[in-house]
Amino acid sequence: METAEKQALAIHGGPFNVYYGRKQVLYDISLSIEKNKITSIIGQSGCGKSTLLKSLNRIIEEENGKIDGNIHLFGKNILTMHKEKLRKAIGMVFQEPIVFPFSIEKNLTYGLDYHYSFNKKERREKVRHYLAMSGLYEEVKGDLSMPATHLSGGQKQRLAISRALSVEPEILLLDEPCSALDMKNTLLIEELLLQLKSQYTIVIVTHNLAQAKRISDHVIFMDGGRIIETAPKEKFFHAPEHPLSVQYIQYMEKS
Amino acid sequence: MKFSRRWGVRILFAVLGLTVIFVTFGIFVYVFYKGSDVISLKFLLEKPSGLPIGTDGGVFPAIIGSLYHGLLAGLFGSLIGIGAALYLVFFCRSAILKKIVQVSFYFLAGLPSIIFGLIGYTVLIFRFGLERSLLCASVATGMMLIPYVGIRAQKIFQEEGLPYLMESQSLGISKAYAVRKLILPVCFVNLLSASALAMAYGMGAVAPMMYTGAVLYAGVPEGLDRPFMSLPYHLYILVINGISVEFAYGTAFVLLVLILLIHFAVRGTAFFREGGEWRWRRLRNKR
Amino acid sequence: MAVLTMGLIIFYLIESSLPAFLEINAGLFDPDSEWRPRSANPSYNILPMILATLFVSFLGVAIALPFGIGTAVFLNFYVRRKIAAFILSFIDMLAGLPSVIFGFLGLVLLVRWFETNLGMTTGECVLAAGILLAVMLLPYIVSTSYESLQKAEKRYMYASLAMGISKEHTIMKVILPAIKKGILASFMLAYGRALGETMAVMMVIGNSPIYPRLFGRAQTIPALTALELGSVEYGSLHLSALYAANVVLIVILAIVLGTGYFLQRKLKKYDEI
Repeated sequence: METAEKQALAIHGGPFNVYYGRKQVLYDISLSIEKNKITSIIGQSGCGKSTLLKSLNRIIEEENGKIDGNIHLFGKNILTMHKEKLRKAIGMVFQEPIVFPFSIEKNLTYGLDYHYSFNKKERREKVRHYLAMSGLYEEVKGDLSMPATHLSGGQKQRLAISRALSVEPEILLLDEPCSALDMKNTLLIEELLLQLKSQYTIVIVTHNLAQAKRISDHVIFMDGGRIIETAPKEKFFHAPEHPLSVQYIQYMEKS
Repeated sequence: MKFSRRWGVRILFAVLGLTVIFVTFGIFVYVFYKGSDVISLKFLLEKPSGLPIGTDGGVFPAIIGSLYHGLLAGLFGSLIGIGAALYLVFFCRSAILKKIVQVSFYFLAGLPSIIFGLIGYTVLIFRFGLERSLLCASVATGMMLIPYVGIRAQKIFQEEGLPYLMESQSLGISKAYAVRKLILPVCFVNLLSASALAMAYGMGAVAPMMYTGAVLYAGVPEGLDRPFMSLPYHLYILVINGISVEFAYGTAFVLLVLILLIHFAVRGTAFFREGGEWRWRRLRNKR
Repeated sequence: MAVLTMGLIIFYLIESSLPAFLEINAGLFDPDSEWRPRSANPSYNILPMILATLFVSFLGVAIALPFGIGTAVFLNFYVRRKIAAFILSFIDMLAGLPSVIFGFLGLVLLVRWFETNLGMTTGECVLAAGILLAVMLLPYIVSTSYESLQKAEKRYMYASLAMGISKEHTIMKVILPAIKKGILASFMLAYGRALGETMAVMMVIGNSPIYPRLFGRAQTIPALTALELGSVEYGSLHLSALYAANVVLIVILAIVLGTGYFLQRKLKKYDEI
C-alpha cells in the first residue's frame, strides 16, 4: 500500500491475533478504517466484534487479554504507544450508558482536568461546547450541577459521548451504544453520529442490521473470531460475496 | 497523572494492604507457633491439675465440655432459627407479622453477647432457681444463635427453596408436603452448614456462658444439670488471673484448631457440592 | 419463637431496669458522681461507661476503616484474583475466631508492647482496646468494601481508562467516591458490632469506671456487665442499674444499626454501590 494512501487510513492493522490467557479469541485480523467515515462491525453475538473494538484502544489488556501482531493508528504502532496517550486519541462509548456518580458538569471536567489545564472560564466554555455537540446542552443547561445519575438513559448515553469527546480524540469507538435505548433515543444518537462524522472517525459495533444500513459507510462482518468480509455499505448489502454474509443478511432480514 | 503521585497512591494502598495481611497471618502463625510448644498428649487428654489449678495437667474436660456446649447450643439455636425462617419464608401470609419476625431477627443479631449472659443469668439462675449447668449455658448461648442461623436459613430458603415450591405447587401438591419432602431435603446440607458455623460461633462465645454454666474446674460433664468446663472460659480464667500464660497458649491453640476444623468441614462440603474454584482455593490453601 | 425470644428479652430488660430508672433517676447520668455501687452510700453514674463505649468503638472503626478499605483496594486492583481470593479467605477466617483469643493476644502482645515501649506502668488502655477492636472489625470491613469495589470497578473503570486516564486517578477520583455511601453503611454496621463487643475489650481496657482518655483505663458497658454480674444480688438496685446501662446501650445500638441497615437497603433499592 502506498504511503499516501496509508495516511488517509485512521487505523490500519494486521494481521493480529488476540488471546485471553491461552484461549485465542480473534484470529488473523486485518483491517483498515478510513478517516471521517463510519465503519460498522456486525455479526452474531459472541463473534468477537466487541473484542475487536476493545483491542483497538487496548482496553482488552485490562481484562488480561493480549494482542499479538500490529495495529497502527495514523501510522504509529499502538502496541508501543503509551496507553494513556492512545486512549486519549481513541474515545470509547459503552453499551450500558455509564455516567460517573458526579454532577453533569463534573462528568465532563473529569477528563478535561486530567489531560489539560484550563482556567475557570475556558472550562465552562468547554463543558458547554461538548454538551452542545451531543445535543444535550439545550436539555440540561439550567442545571449543570444536577447529579448525572438522574438523567434518562438516552441522555446518559449522550453525556457519555460528550465525555468521550471532551478529551479530543480523533477516533470514536462505540460498542452497541443504542442497545439499551428506545427507538427515539436510538435515532437521536444515529443523527448525532452522522453529524460527528465530519470531525471524527467512527467505529460502531452493532447487532442491529438496520442501524448499520442507516448510518455506516463501511461494514466489517465477523464470525467466529474472524473477519469474514469487509466492504462498502452498498456493496455489502446488495452483493455480499461470502456465503456466510449472504446467510446472515437473509436471516436478519427475515426476523 | 504525575509519575510521583501515581506511585504515591500505589505505595499507600500497598502499605495498608500488606500491614493487614501481615497482621492476619501473624495472628494465626503466632498462636500456632506458641501453642505447638505446649501441646502434648498429656495436655490434650488429662484433667487440669496443679496449684493454682490449671498450671499442670491438661484441658480434656474443657474440650469435651466445649463440644457438648457447642452442640447443644447449636441444636437449640438452629431448631428455633430454622423453624422461624421456615415459617417466615413459606407460611407467613401477614405482611406485618413478617416484618415483626424480620425485625426481631435483626434486633437479636445486633444485641451484644453479654446481654444473653445477663438475661440468661437473671432469668434461669435467679428467677427459676436453676443451678449453673450445661443446659442453662446452652440455652443462653442458643438464644444468641437464633438470629445467626435464622438469617442464613432465610436466605437459603429464599434462594433454593422458593423456586422449587412454585414448581411443586403447580403440580397441585400441598405446601406442607412440599416443604417436608422437597424443600428440607434440598436445603439440608446448607442448613447443616449454617448450624455448624453457629456451633463454632457459640462454642467460642464466653459472655453468655460465664455466669450460666461454665466453671473454673469440673470433670467431663455427666449430665445436662452439671456445670462444665469450656475452652474459651478456661483460656479467659488462665489469662485474667495470671495463672499460666504458657497453658493459655495451649488452650488458645486447641480452641483455634477446633473452630477451624468446623470451618474447614463446612467449606469442604460446599466444595464437594459446588466445586467452585474460589471455594476450592479457600479450602485447600487453608490447610 | 424468635419473636417470643425478642419479646422476652425486651420485657425483661424493661422490667429489670425500671427500678434503676425510677429510683436513681438522674443519678444515672450525673456527671458529678461516680460509679460506686458497693459503697455504703452507693452512686450509680453510668455516663463514663457510655462515653467509653462510644469512644473505644469509634476508635476501633476509625482505625479499621482506612486499613480495611486500603486492603480491599490493594487486593482488588493490584493483586491477582486467585491470590486475592486466598488472602481474603484468610482474612475471613479472622472473623470466625472467638473474641477471647483476640483478648488474650491483645493482652500478651499489645498491652505488653505498650508497657515496654511507652513506659506505661500498665499497658491496659483505651488505645489498646481500640487497636484490638480494629483488628477484629477488619474482616468485616475488608469483605464489604471489596464487594463494593468490585461492583464500582465493573461499572466505571473501563469508561475512565478509555479516556486515557490512569488507574490510580480513577481509583481516587471515581471508584472511592462512588462507594462512599456503601462505606458509610458499613461504618455504621461495624460501629454497631464494636459497641457490643464484650470479652476482647474487657481484657485489655483496664476496667476502671472513669471517663475515657486515650492512654488511660476505662470500662465499657458490656465489660462492666460481664465483670459485675457475678457479684450482684438478685433484686438489688445494682443489678437494676446494670440493666439500665444495657438498655441505654441497646437504644444506641438500635439507632446505629438501624441507620446502617436503612442506608444499605436504600442503596440496594436505587441500584447504587
